[in-house]
Amino acid sequence: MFLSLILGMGSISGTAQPSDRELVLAAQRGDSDAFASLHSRYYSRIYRLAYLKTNNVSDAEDVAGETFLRALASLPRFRFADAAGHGSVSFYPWLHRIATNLIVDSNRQRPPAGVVSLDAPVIEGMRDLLADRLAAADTSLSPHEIVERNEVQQLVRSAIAALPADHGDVLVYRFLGDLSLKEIGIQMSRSESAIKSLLHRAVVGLRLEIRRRVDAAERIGQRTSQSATIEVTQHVGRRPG
Amino acid sequence: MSEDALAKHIDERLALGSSTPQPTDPETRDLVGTVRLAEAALGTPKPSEEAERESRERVVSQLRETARDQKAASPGILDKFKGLFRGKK
Repeated sequence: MFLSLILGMGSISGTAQPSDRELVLAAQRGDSDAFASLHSRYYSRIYRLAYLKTNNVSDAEDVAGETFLRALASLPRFRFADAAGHGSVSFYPWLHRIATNLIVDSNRQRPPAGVVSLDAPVIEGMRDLLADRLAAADTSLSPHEIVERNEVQQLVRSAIAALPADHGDVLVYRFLGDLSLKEIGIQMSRSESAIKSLLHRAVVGLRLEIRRRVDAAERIGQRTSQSATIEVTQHVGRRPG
Repeated sequence: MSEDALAKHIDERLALGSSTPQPTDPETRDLVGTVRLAEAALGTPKPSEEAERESRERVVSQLRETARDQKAASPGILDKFKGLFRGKK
């Protein structure tokens, strides 16, 4: 007992990255550096989750900050798993739940962004990317450039936000939370194979949703350029042919 | 089978990034672009460094304050021994 007290008194040290479990135990003993490490590890993920749900920088910062304050307040009661070791090894799911509850409670969930304006080469590039025509792509943009475009990321985020809740959750847990299928299964109370199947359906659904939005962006782009043509031809005294 | 292949591809994608080998399963290959887009969209935007620092400082000072309060409220181990010795006298 006394030995464990002595062993437990030191702060987290050494060069190897301490696990979430080690950091949480140290923070529960009052080690502020340990909680600061957990904050550094997960703040940006929680911020991005909040941004996905609120679509607003200031709200996302508020939610992320409040999430960590609430986590700290409830930290003494936090347990990773039962005695048999069943449960997540990541601190992320708990933060995810706190952030999601905060967003729902404060009723700040905004409608997802509407149609994003895309240039014709981006539209063409996205179609190639979605249809696995990367090698044959004949656009001015490389797949890397398309993925890096801010408006493309906005469009994909709004498509994820429009998916059924469990499809959106599984994508967020996997790509943002970096949780394994087993860990996601624990969070969503489903088997690992059910999560695998859900992830597949979510990615297929996302592809359809992105395509729908790319089509909408293209239609709006065509309408805009058509009205611009009308405006120009009226200016020179002719009607469009 | 394609569910396994997609899960495997995503695992590799998250571990290896752009050097992930192209999946051989045609259905999974068809979803590669969507996986890249989902990964990129959920990896952005980055929070401002100032907001992150402010949040970290707030929680750290809160934790230190709580630890100080707890220390002041509960008797230390030496106080317990003092009490023991006092009782023996």
